Amino acid sequence: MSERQQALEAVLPASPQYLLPVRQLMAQFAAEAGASSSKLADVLLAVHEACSRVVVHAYQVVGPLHLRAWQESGRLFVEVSDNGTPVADPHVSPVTALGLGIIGQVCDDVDIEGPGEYGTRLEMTFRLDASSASE
Amino acid sequence: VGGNFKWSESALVRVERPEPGVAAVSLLGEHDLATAAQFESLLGQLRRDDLAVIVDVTEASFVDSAILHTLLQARDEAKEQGEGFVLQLGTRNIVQRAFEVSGLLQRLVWATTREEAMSLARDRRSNP
Repeated sequence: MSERQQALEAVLPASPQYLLPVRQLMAQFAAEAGASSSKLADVLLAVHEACSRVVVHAYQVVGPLHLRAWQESGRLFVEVSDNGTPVADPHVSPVTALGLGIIGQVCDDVDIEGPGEYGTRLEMTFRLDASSASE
Repeated sequence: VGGNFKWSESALVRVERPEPGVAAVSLLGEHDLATAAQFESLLGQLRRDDLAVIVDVTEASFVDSAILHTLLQARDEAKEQGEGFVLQLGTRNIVQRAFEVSGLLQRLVWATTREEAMSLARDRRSNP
């Protein structure tokens, strides 16, 4: 039950037209993991914004977007990462600032590493047993 | 401007003129970074036509930060021009949630019915 269950691993081009397929992949995975419909909404909002950040900020030209998700101890973990080099300008765009605000509001925990030599990694945690669980 | 437009396989938009001086833009389906530029350009066109605008997201199934930012910009520009800019919001879970958690419900004029949205748009138009 508390063992880590690896379930989703995907590498996609960091391009706007792949954001919808990412949401579809995540929706299926989160639903299978037992997320309630309100939790599912939060997962989709956060994962989309994390991927959107990669699309907008990580690369000069299109590079890879790494998506990993797993379930462990009643929690859903989603990691979104890129191999982009650090950008010279540390200021995020207003769109990304809004996106990071959304991520901060809907995740139970967020961990960001980078941007550094090997890109940026954003790990989001969602409690699957949160409030609306009825069992 | 009027009619139905397909911006992608999953993003549709409907533009109506419910009364003179007012345009209603309904987003249907999934709207994100991939369609935000088209949305921005449509809103710019309506602004140049000097119209009060209602953006109706009651039939949208997804909106992201790029769409939210476009709405904020359009709101600022409408304000400068003295035009009304009103959001019509339904109860579709994820879209409502995006507006709540981004803080936009505190920053935009919004209504839950078309009648209220029309009345707010007219108000702003005559009394910006």
